[in-house]
Amino acid sequence: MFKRIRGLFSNDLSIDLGTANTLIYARGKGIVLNEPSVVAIRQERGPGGAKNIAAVGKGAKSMLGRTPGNIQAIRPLKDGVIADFTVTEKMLQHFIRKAHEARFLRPSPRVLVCVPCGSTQVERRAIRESAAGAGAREVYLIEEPMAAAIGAGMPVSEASGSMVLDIGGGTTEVAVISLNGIVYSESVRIGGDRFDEAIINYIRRNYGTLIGEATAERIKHEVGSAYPGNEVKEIEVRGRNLAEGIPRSFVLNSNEILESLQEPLAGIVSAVKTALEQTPPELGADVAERGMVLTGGSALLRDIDRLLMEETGIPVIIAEDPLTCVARGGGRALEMVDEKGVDVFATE
Amino acid sequence: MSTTPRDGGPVIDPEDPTGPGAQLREARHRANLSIEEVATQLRLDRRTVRALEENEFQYLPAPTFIRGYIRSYARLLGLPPGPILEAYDYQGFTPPAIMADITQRPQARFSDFPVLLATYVVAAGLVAMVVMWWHSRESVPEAPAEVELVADLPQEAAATPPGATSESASLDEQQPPEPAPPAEELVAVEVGDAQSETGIALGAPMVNAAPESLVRQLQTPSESASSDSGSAVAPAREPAADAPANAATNRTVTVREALITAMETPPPPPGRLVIRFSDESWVEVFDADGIRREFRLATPGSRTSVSGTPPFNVLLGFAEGALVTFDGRDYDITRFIRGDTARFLIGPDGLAKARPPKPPPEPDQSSAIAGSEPSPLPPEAAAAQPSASTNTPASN
Repeated sequence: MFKRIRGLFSNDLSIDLGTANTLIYARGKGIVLNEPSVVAIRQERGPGGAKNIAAVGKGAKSMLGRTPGNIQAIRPLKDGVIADFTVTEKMLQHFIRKAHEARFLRPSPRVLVCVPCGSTQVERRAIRESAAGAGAREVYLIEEPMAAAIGAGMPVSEASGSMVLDIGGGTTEVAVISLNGIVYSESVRIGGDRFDEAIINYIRRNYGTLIGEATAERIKHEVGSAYPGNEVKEIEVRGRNLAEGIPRSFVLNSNEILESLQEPLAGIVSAVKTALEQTPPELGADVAERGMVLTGGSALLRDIDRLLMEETGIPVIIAEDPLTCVARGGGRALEMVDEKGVDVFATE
Repeated sequence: MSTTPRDGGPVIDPEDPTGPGAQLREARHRANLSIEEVATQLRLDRRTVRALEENEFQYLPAPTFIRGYIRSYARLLGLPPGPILEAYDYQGFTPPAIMADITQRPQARFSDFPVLLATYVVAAGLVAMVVMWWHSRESVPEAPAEVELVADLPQEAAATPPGATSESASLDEQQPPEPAPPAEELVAVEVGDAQSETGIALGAPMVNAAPESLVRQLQTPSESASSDSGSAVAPAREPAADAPANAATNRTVTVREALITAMETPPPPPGRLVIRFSDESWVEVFDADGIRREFRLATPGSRTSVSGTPPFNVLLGFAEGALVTFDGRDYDITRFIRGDTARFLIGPDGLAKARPPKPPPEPDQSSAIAGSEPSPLPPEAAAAQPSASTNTPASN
């Protein structure tokens, strides 16, 4: 009862609880929060001491790989699902409160959380519980590709196939949607994290040098590409030389990074090809005519649309603001439910 | 040709009459590309490319796709996509509405405003009804109950006095044996309750002499029974034989009559102390004159009633197990409890703290053995005590 009253003073929130970033879209306000899904936990005095949250989000991300013994910067989500339940709950609690700043009452919003379509029942349950534990009045779940398609502005309600490829931090979801429902969906556990990992491995193999995750991410953002382009970019990075044991600086170019990313990119391409194979022919024809839409943070990888276009032969479009597509789509789904009674939610 | 505004096309930006299509077409010409080449590069239909260049967006899919095509096209031609997209946006296309399927009709949900409102109205109505019912229940009962009782009284009261006197008297005489205590107790309780509830309402007109005497009768046997039980037991044994049958048949009648009698009864004479025991205890009661009125062991379920000049100085051996009633009113004595015992003064003014009575109590007349009393004599006179104690029984 009291939650309901508090709910009158709370906005509906749509949360894209991603492996890399958590985005919150508040109804009527737009994206109100975009922070890395990282939590830094401080262990107080000795191994048996109490644990408390040192930082969440950006502050915690800057600590990744740079923490002393008593602080642990962790990413509570792995491959799009919860790996550490309590920490995820704390993080969500923090984010919901932050998104609802300067309120007298403790917020108790209706919350829509996006889940990977390949997630198991247990994983969905964990996400639901953790959102409820973070103070949500009601929790809805929506499958990520559905939210991504809505957020990208695709005509999901029409009787025609729309193909969406959402490349997130932990997972890549490919789905064909028609009439507010998912006709085919596939989730592969390849995403931005795997790109970083591939870059780290490549540099260790070829340069005998160890770099951290943050550096790998920076390399990916600056010179990473998915298809050979006309210009070659270079970047100077520093890492610990394994043979000498001291930090060394060296220069990388975009072709090397392209080479290093081949394996994860091949995984994504094969997932898309499988999806096209499995799609019913009518919907496949629609997709071939209009093309597929790319969303998710990794859609910002240079020329990834080009790669997919070459590989599949169908038009590929990068959605506008691909990073926030899922969160925005979730917000629109919530509105739709209230306005038109459309049910696009995932069952548990 | 490309710069002339087109007829039949959608509304074209008045500031930029060429629209996004013309810009693309110009750039394509500059790059020396044919529509076919562009279509192959972008994996699009030639039709789609041509529609883009001619601003015929109504033949193209949703704006999301169009924006995507424009962006890809612009990138292919080495143009910044921003201005072309702006030109496209200027035409005011909105993203597709998301519609429910035909089969899906909006289902009433709890969060819908009318449903929510109706729920709260119903809930508020229920609460209001409960409150009203509660309120009426609190204010009404006294009046109807009185009326009922008063209405009952005349015919019952007219019939009762002779019969009731004999019956309840016989019932009271059975007090030492089994069946009597409940009935007797009931009368005592009812006297207390009825007095508080109906005493004022019934008032003087309803009271007549007969019930008063009846109450006296009710009270006196019990007193005599409790105070000098030795003498009371003998006469009580005789009616005890036929009492159970009598009591069983007349139980309801007797209880009812006792109730009526109790209601007609005026407040009991002042200075009547009743102590009921639910546990084993002992009790000592002095009245205001310093006379010991009661001093005995009490068994669970028994009761002691003391008359005399109030206030009474009471000492209870196990105060937890005793319920003290004075003039029909119950008193809470918990604040006087020290350990197990409690000593207090009780009178018409209520409870008060008490000290052990100052004047050493005189040997009680009712007590059989005077020798057990503490001697008031000085130690040197103790030798003379035996002769004194032998004298007392003799005089008794």
